[in-house]
Order: sequence, then structure tokens, then C-alpha cells
Amino acid sequence: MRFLDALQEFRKALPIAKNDKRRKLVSQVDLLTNDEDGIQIVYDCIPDLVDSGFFKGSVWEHPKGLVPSLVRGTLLAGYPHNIYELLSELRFVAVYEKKLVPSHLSPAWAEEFLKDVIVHNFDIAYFEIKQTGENRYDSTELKKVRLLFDFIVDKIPVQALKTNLLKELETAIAHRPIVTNRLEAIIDTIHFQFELNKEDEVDQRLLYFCEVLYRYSPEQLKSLLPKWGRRKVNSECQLAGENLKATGMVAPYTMHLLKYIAQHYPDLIPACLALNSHGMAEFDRHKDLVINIIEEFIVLDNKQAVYGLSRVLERNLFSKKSTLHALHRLMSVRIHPMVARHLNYGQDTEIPATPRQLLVGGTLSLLGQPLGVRQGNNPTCQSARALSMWSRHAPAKLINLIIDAASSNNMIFRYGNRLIESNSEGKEIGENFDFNLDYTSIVLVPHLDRIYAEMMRLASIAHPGEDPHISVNPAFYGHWIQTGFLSVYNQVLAKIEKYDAFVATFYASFHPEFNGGHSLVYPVPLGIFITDSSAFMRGFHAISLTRVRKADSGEWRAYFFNPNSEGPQNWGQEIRPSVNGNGEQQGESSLPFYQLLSRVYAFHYNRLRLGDKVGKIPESTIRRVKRLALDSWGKQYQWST
Amino acid sequence: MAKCFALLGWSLPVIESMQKAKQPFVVVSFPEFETYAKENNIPFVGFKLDEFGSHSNSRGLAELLKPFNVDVAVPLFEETVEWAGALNSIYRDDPRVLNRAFLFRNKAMMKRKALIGGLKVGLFEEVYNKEQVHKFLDRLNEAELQLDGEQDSWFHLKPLNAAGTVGHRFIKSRDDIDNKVRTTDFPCIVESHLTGREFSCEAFIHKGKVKFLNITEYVKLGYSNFIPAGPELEAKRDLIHQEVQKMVDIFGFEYGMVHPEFFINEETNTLNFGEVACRIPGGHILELASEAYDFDALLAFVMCHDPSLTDEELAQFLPSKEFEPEKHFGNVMVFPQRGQISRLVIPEELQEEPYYLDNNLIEPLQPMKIGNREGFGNHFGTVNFAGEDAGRMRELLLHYEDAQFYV
Repeated sequence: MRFLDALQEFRKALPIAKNDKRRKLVSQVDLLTNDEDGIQIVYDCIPDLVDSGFFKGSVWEHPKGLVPSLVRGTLLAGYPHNIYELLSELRFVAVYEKKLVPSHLSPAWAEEFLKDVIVHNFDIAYFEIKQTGENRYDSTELKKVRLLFDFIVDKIPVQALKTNLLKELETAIAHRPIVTNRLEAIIDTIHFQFELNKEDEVDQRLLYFCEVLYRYSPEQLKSLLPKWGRRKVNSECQLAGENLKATGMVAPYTMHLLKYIAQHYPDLIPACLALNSHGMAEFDRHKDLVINIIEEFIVLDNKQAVYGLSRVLERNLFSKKSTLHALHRLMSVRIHPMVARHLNYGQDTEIPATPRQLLVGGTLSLLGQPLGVRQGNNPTCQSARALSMWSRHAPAKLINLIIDAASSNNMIFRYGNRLIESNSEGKEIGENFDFNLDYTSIVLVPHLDRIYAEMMRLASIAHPGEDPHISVNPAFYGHWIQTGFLSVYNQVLAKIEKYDAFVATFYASFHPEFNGGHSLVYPVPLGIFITDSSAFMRGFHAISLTRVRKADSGEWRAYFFNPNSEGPQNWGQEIRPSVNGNGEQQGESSLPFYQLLSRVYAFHYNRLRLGDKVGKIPESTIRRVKRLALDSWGKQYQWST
Repeated sequence: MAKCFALLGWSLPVIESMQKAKQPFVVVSFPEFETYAKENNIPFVGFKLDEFGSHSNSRGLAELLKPFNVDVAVPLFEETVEWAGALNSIYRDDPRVLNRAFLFRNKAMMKRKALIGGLKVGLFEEVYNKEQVHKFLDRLNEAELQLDGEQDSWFHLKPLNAAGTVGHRFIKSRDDIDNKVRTTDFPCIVESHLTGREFSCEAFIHKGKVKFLNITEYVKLGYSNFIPAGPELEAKRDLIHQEVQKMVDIFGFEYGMVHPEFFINEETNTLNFGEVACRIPGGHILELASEAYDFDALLAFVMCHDPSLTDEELAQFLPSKEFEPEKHFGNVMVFPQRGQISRLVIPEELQEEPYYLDNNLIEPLQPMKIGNREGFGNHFGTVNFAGEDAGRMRELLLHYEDAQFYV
């Protein structure tokens, strides 16, 4: 068999001929892994393959540095990356089944890793991959993904996943993302495929989530509603409202219930939305608008807007004149056909919905959950961060941007003395973009990303040798960004410099023990180094510092918005951002202050507020941060002395 | 048996073959490869093998090779042919070996020698400027008895010493002379268009005799070929064998491998001589020949250069006389289309094709722009096929030559 020949040739090849033989071998694996038998054959050879040094020199060489949540992206990244990833997973199955006994990996570790792979990639582990937009995946590549997960899921019994899934659900729900497809897919599978036992503690929690989503099917509810009296409707509204508040998840039946009461018992709406006193007052004041939104704009594909609406009411956003006017205008906007098409890509069902409905619902979600926006599979952390910031501090500006982008498929920003248009180059907006996002991001992010890139380009011409963010951040995000700017990296010398002063300034600006006891006024954009679980630097990322406060444990923690966070992460050196349990608000991540700072490479601050505070930061405080920096990303840089 | 082969030029597949066969060798190539070679325990002499000329110090190189006991030099690339000729002149104590090497490197000289010896060649001339090309066309048209208003005769323009299709221009009209020919092309050779189907052979020569003849069918020159050739060409094997032997005799070639290109007219049973090289051919031809005839063609290529081998010793490295290939082995070289590419895609229908074997395509590390190609250069890897039916093979190779592997 040619696969076996190729494997032998690879094994015997001289070091310098390895790459060519490896390519041939990969092409053989590619051929074989298109059906179950082929996967099995490859699987049977995994010990031999690993032994041949196949993974040597690739990013898959060190299993402990691999990240389960990235498996999906690599499997869909095209040939030959998908083949490496597939083989890597088969390797872990082999370790789990003790067919392969490496010295540094235990079967238990492999099992945990595979479970994490299933849990973090649940949508593709159990469901067909949704094809969105022009960015369609190759069907043979999809087939491989399907076969691989069928193979893994077959080896790891679903029952064994329950604890992992519960943990995943609980942390993700505490984190309150706008897009809940993945959570729904997990609950869906648990509901229809798992055997659950009411006596078991884990199962009880899982049953609760099933109850939230599947208490009634929409059909059931529709047939029951006419038979129910007000009392029963009221108690169902109370229950739906409690579940909504507790999980942020909107069950299809809840949406129908809300539409029903909007027509028959509008006074029950606050209960169904579980509104607090602020929200109730807002509802009383804008009752007609709320009913109009529920009846006209909320559909199955944006049902999460029900939760968004409840939070918007509690934020009293309708009582802000500018926001209200902008919203009214959005509700009658004529949507550009291209934007309409993109919005449809974001739909989960085939049920007809107008682009305007989708967009208005999406806007409510973003306004209600400023920290629930995520970048998805796109490298657009800056844009997600901008949406979050505007949603919190400039809702009318945000809605106006949405109106511009939705009606003209264009957006104009000013940078210095130039106007930058997002749709001026004749390149199609949304090319190579993954539309698996909330509807507002679908409309805004392709434009914002292009504007951001153009600003960065102009900045590197305007002030070469200086970090372009110094001028781009204020122009892009707006006047909320402070004028002071520090970066650890000197571009001219290509070295890390003045790190001690950098750390001290960060403390003096943001840490209440050193800045005079002040809280942050606006979120502060931070540039951070991404490090993996071995603290190895993987790239750059944009987050926003939202709060600094002492947690109940007595420890000073930094709370931040992370656009790529789907739950807890592991940045190495025991630095593990948490998303709940440490005083986080829904959507925030948090870390001990000094740990977060050890990953920061750039931030904005206000020089006028510093006074002589910088000099008062204790030497030992700075040293602790520096140690972490030097031993992680710092290893990949030169430091000036 | 040779004490040590000097391999002139850096070729990993050849190094691999030599190591596997445990044959003594030393690689001569640019000093840049030295660290690489050391790390991998490859005997190595760093030497700038630039264009050979009167300034070239082949005796100096021979001195450097002495510690390795080199007694046979093997040219792997076009540019090293004279160097090998010079060294072998020293080793065999025969100055004409170098002269013969020049034959392979100067296409005008090559054609003259072929003409003198009686091979069928086109009307050809060495030219030094565009004016001379126009004059050549005048004379060619005249000889072809062209009437006013009729098409110009076709001819080819080739650099005197470049490998394969590098710098080759096919001129079909007077306008082409002005549009396609560049001043930097001169001096070069122009030759009237030879009709017939083009193919190549790889003839392994020892003691001046053809010991094994491989015939390669070109599907599209520079893109795809397969081995053994289809039944039409293989039917002419005896004719081709005679013609190759005739060429070897005329050129006085004794040891090594020749890679001539001919044009065959199947009706008249005549062969037109295109050109000939004596280094490793492009298009991974020897790899295909290895698969088809179940031998190590690269090793055989090297071994044929060794005059000290007996016929029996040599026979071990070549396919036996009776060997009948069961399948045709073919490949397509993949060149991304011009423009921006960012991703490698293996077409679905390829995966389902029973003739498909494997590929070694390289993935782009980042989006990149693809410009024009030159010769056999800058391909992104090959896609290999094997199967029993030559017709099907041709179809497949033609089809995948245009398939988009990069988007």
C-alpha cells in the first residue's frame, strides 16, 4: 500500500529529504482519510507514524502546548494543515487506548484533551458544519472532519463527557455571549442523546438546562396557550423570566410566549423579561415601542434579542434621546442588498426573516450585552473591542454606524486630515470573512477591520519607528482613549526597553492602591502578548481593561473584556483567566492584577493624573511582574539593559 | 569500480540514492551548502561552480578533490557539464572529453556536429542581433518558396547554453521577432520549425554503447510527461534506438547519460533531432523511469559515468533486458496561475481518480503573488499518476495541467 510505502520512505529519509517525503506522506493520508476504513488504517499506523518523527519540527511536536479550542480552526484551515491536525487527534486517541505509550503523555491526559476537543468543538463534533457566505469549505475537508469526530466520539463514551459539558455550559453561560448557537447545540445533544438520571447531581444540572430550552416545544405551546387562563400564563411568564435571567438563553417557546402576551396580556411583559425596577419603569414609559419591537422585529433567528431587550430596558437606553432617535431610524432603514445577504448568512434556520428584523434584533443584543460580543473565527479583536466600548459608552454613535453600514455598505472615518472609506478599493466587503457572528458584527466588523488596517498603514508611514496604535487607537475608538501611550517595544532598536517604568506607570495609572483610589472611567485598550499554556508567545491580541478591584479573596484583580474568550483560558505560568467566581460581571474575564500586567505590551494613560505616583511603586512589585514577563514572551525578544 | 564520484551540483535525491547504495561520493557545490552538508554528514567540497570559461581553474578543483580520491566526475545540472568534462579529461587523460562537453553546452556547435554526422536538423544559424533574425526569416521564407501574402515560416530561437525550455521563443511571424525577441536574448541560435511529435529519451551510455533506453512521452512540454511512452512511440523503439546510437557515435560520447529530444514523423518513420543534454533531465523524468522500470535511475545515471565498470557490474544497476513495465507512470508539474494565491486545494475529483498516486505540493506560507514562469523553474510540486492505459494517462495529465491547485 502506498501509504505504508510513503511512511517507510519518510522514516528512512535523510534529515534533509524529510520535508519532501513528509509532503508525499501527507498526500497519502489525505487520500486515505476519506472513509472509515481509511481512518482506521491510518489509526492503526499511528504508533509507527509518531515513532518516525512525523510531528518533529511542527507545531504539533509538543502535545502539551496544543489548545483544544483551536482544533476546529485548524481542521478547517485547508490542506495540509487539516491532515496534521487530524493525525494529531488520532495520536491522542491512540494514547488514550494505550496503543501508543509515550513517556510524557498519560492515557488520562489524552482522554481529558480529547474530551476538551469534543466540548470546545461541540458544534462540529456532533453536527454538520454550517456553510456560511462565500467562504464555503471544501466538501472533502468537511467529510474528514465528520469522519474524525465520529471516530473520536465513538471511542469516548458520551456519558463520560457529562461533567466536562456541564462545566463548559456553566462557565459559558456565566460569560453571557450574544451568540449562543454552540451552547444550544450542547444542550440539544444532551437533551436528545444522553440518558440522564434525576438522582445524580451533575445530571440534575444538565436537566435544568434542558428544561430551560425544551420545557415546551413551540408547537406544544401554541396548542396550549388558548387553553390557559391568565393565572397559568402568568406563572409560565414568571418561570420563563427566571430562566432568562439565570441563563441569558432564550428558549424558542419563550419567544412565542412573549409574542403571545404582547398581544393578549402586555402587562405580563416585565415578568417574562424578569425586569428589575429600572427596567419596569422604562417599560412603562416606552410600552408601545417595546410591544412593537416584540411583535415586529423579534424572530426565531434573533430570539436572543429578547434577552438583549430586557437588558436594554434595564440600562434605560430608550430614555436617552439620541439613542431613541437613532433606534427609530434603524427600525426603518433600507438595507443594502449585499448587507442583506451577509445578514442571511448569520441565520441558523431557513425560516424567513427580513434583514431589518435580524439587524434590529442584533442591535438590541449588542446594546444589552456590551461584553457579550466576540470576534468569532476572524482576526478582528480590535473591531470587537470597539463594538463593546461603543455599546457601553456611545450607544447612539454605535447605532448610527450600523445605519451607515447597513444602508450604504460603506463607512467613513477620519484619520488625521484624511477620510478613510471602508468600501473604496473595489474589493468586496466580507471576503474571507466568517459570518458565524452576531448580526451587528456581521454588518460592522468587515468595514471596521478595513478602516483599522488602513489607519495602521497610514500611521506606519506618518510616524515610522513608533507604535502605530499611538495615533490609531484614538482615531478608531474615539475620544475615550487617553492621550498618553506606552509600549514596551522599541521598533527602531527592535528591543524591549524601559520595562520597569512601563510597569510602574501601569500601576500608578490603574491600581487603586497607587493611583489615589480611583476607578477607571472608561475601558482602557490594552495590547497583550498571547502566550500558550507553556507560556510560549503565540502572537498579539487586543483586550480592554474594564475594572480593577479587590476580589472577595482579598486579592487585587484586573477585570477585562476579551473578544476571543469563550471561557477560561490558560496562558502558562499558572496564569489562567477566569470568567466567573472571582467577582466578574457577565462577559468579563479576570486575573490577578500583576498577572495580567505581565502580558501587556502597550496601553493608554493620562499623564496629567500621574503626578509623582510612578516613583512610589515598590521595587518588589515591579520585579514580580518582570519575572513573569522575562520567563514567557520575554524569551523571544532582546531586552535593552 | 570508481574510488569516488564527484557529484557536481546539489541534488538531494541523488545524494539519497548514493547513500542507499553505499557508493563513495563527494558533493561539489556552492560553499553556502557547507554547513548544511556537515550537519547531515555529507562529504562536501565547497566550490563556486559558476559559468565555465578560460578563467576556470579545473586543476584547482581537482586538487581539492584529491583527498577524496575522486576518479569520476558527474554533472548533475546544465551549468556543471563543462566542469565535469574538464575533470574527466584529467581523470581519463583525454583532452577531448572536455571538448565533447562543450558540444552539449553550445547549441550552435551541437547542431553543426549533428549536421556533419548526418542527423536530420532544421535550417539554423547563430545570430547576434534582430537584424540577423529578420535576414534569417527572409532566407527561410525564400527557401520555403513563400508567395506574397502567405504566412511566414515558423522557427525557434534558443539561447546557446540554457537548460530545457529556458529562454526558448517560438516565432510564428515577422511581428513576433519585434514583439517576442529581446536584446538580451543574443547571441542565440535560430532554427526552422521541425515538424513531428516531440519526445525525449534517456539513454544510459557505457563504453559508447546504449545500454538502456527510456522513452518519455511528453503530454505538454514543461508540464507533464509519462513513462514508458504510449504504444505509438514504443512501437518505434528500434528506430529510436538506432538513431540515439547514431547520435552517440557522432558525438563520440562514451560514459554517462544523454537526454536528447527528437521530433518523430510517424508516417515517414523519420526523426528530426532537436537537441541533447547530458545532465539530469527536468520534469522528474528519472523518478518516473525508476518507478516504471523498477530500478534506481538516479544511481544508474551516476554509475554509467564510471569507465572502470564491467558490463556485468553495470547491468546490476540497470533494468534487465526482458523487463516489461506494467504501468505508465506520469506526472504533472503544478504551476499556480498568475495572480494572488493564499491556499492549497486538492481537487475532489483527483482524490477519487484511481490513477492518482500522490503529490508533494507545497502550501503557500502566506498569500503570495505569482509571476511568469521560466523553464522548468518555480513549480510548486508534482502530482503523480500511474495506470495501465496510456490514453487515459494523457487525458488526466492534460486535465490536471489546467486544474487550479492554488486559490
